[in-house]
Amino acid sequence: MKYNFSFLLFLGLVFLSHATESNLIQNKQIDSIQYYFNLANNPKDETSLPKAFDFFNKRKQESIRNNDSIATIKYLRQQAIIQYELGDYYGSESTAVEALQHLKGYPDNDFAIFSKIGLYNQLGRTYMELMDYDAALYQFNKGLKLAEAGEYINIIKNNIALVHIERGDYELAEKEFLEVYQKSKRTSDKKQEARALDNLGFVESKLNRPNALEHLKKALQLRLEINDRHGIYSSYKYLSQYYKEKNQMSLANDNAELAYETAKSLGSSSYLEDALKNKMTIEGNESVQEFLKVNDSLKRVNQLRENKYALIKFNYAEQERLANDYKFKQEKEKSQKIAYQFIGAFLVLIFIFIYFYLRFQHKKEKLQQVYNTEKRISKKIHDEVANDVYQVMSKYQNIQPVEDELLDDLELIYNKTRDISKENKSINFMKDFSIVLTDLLQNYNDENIRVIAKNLKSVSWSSISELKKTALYRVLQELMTNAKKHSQASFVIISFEKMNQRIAINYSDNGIGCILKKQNGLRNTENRIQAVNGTITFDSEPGKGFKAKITL
Amino acid sequence: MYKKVIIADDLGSINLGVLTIANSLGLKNVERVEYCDDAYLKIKKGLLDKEPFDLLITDLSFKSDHREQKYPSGEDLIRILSNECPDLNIIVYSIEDRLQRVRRLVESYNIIGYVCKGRKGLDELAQAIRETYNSNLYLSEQVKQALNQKTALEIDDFDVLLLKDLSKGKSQEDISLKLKRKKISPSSLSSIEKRLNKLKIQFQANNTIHLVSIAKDLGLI
Repeated sequence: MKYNFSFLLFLGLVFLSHATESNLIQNKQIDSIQYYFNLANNPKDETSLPKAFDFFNKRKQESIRNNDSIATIKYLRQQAIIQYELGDYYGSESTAVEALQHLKGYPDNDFAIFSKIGLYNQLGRTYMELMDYDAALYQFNKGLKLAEAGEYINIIKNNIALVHIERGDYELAEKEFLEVYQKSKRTSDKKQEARALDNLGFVESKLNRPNALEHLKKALQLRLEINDRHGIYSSYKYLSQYYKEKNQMSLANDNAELAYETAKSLGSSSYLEDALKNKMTIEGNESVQEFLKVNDSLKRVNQLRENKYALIKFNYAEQERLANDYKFKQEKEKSQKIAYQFIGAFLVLIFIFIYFYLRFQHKKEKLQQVYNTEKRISKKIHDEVANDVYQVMSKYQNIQPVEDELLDDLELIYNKTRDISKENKSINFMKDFSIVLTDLLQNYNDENIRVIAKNLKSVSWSSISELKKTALYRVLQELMTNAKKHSQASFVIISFEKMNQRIAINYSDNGIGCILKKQNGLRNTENRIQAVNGTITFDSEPGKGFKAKITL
Repeated sequence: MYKKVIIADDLGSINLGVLTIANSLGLKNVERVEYCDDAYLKIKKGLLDKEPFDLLITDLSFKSDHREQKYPSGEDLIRILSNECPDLNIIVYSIEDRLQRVRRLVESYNIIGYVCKGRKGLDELAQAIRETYNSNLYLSEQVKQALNQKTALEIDDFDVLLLKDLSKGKSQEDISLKLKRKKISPSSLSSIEKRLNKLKIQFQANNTIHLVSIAKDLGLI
């Protein structure tokens, strides 16, 4: 870790600044994004990074809701970087993976490639921190495959070289740095060139290459020219280490002092710490040296332990998250299931309703047709048969002498046809139905039979359908005809009673009664009442009159 | 007797029968038509000629045939005439015997006679012509009830209450007091008496005892 201090800081910045540009150019995002971006980049205090993380987390969730995958990926990347800076490497890893998953279905345009390179690089750096160097190399190589622009290639190669250094593979590192240096020489970026050269020199010094010192010095020269103070610090530090290796202690001390001074002028505690450590390594006696070594290895052990603990913590949190997700999903499925069940039940109810409604309509229409047919036949009988019979009758009446018997027979036929016609005649519903019924009953009133209606006027008929009224009219007609013809009754009492939505009609006479069997007339009345969902019951015994109970 | 009579009936033979009756009654000026429209035109013409008809005898139901009619039924004809010729006397002669119809014709259009066709139809028609000429309303026996009091066959809970109290041996005074106590109206002695008289007529009872006995027999109480 002591080597990569300056490189990594730099790499993070490059990618972050890139993200800034794209943010501003592509989306012209509002100021708050820029503010939090800067906050993440240059944390003011210990709350800056968590604040920025919170901000980008919210933005990310909003983007997911809006199905804005570009923004989602961007914010996830910001989060991964912040988590890395906070030392939450497992969190950073999972965030980066999440971002890559969002990129899976995304077309391979510039944005996608740029994001992928950045994410692979970020993952590589994370694995490096976790000391999983194979994984780190794997990620860097993935990024390298996509990187075409030299700038990205250099950054990634730099990181690859750092992995090699961590592993002690200085030859491999040298190869990478050499390539980076040659590439960066072709660009006008002096800062990068100097860094590449410095890194190269450092590795060369480790490998005891003859031109190591030359490279280190040239790098310092370049950095002094462009006043790259971070770079200058790094150069002095490497030089001091170089001289120490070569046992040129005064030069080593001078350079360590210069590095310390530069660090002081940078005003950064971490640089200062690094510089002091460097100084102690060079100047210090044996126990200091040993202390630093023990301290380093302790730090390493601590880091490993922390990493392990973080992994467990992360796995636990992840499991919890998955469990929550699963629970949420289950609940969602459950509520969906309930919703579907509800919709299903609702549809079934509607179908049932429609079925019964249509059936009801059909029945109603059929009944209406029956009544219409009855009316038509009635009119035909009246107009054609009854009138013709009457015509014949009146013709013979005028011819003298006429046989009375013939006229009687004719009158009988005439009355019969007239009665049939009357039984099926249309009913006037324009009038109050109680008057219509009164007239009907009045017709049967004569010296032999008294018809008495009880509470007929007090019943309100407005809620009763015409079909029901027709049925009742016809049934009363039939009952009255029956009473007149067969019962020998002197009184008929018909009482009306309103019961909730229904009407109860009780017919009773004081006639001779009869033995109840399914006579045609009675069956007819039953059919009529049942057709309109009413009920009718009969009660009679010889000598006890006749009773009928109708409810509609 | 009527001076100028018009008969509207689509059956020639009946028309003839009516004509015979008219002749026997000494009606000199009688015209026959088989369509209501013809009747209307003739009546209007009579008015214009200052020789108006003073009696129309018409059927209600006319068979429809190829001739399109402005007034397809007797009732249509009667409706327009009662409006345009209020002085014309109208007697309906028809098979129709529904009280409702008869009442409507009498009350709404002021017809003066209604004769039901039948065995005795022609005799009744002759009687109707005589009676109505004397300014009496004539209705055939069958339809006489059309103009009777509509409550004639109607009884209500109050009537049943009265009958019940009577059957328990209460006097009319007792009943009146009880009704007053219960704040049931009407409760006066005279209105109770009126009710009982109505019931006696309805049940054709000779006296109150007879009335209660009939009501009991009929299961009313």
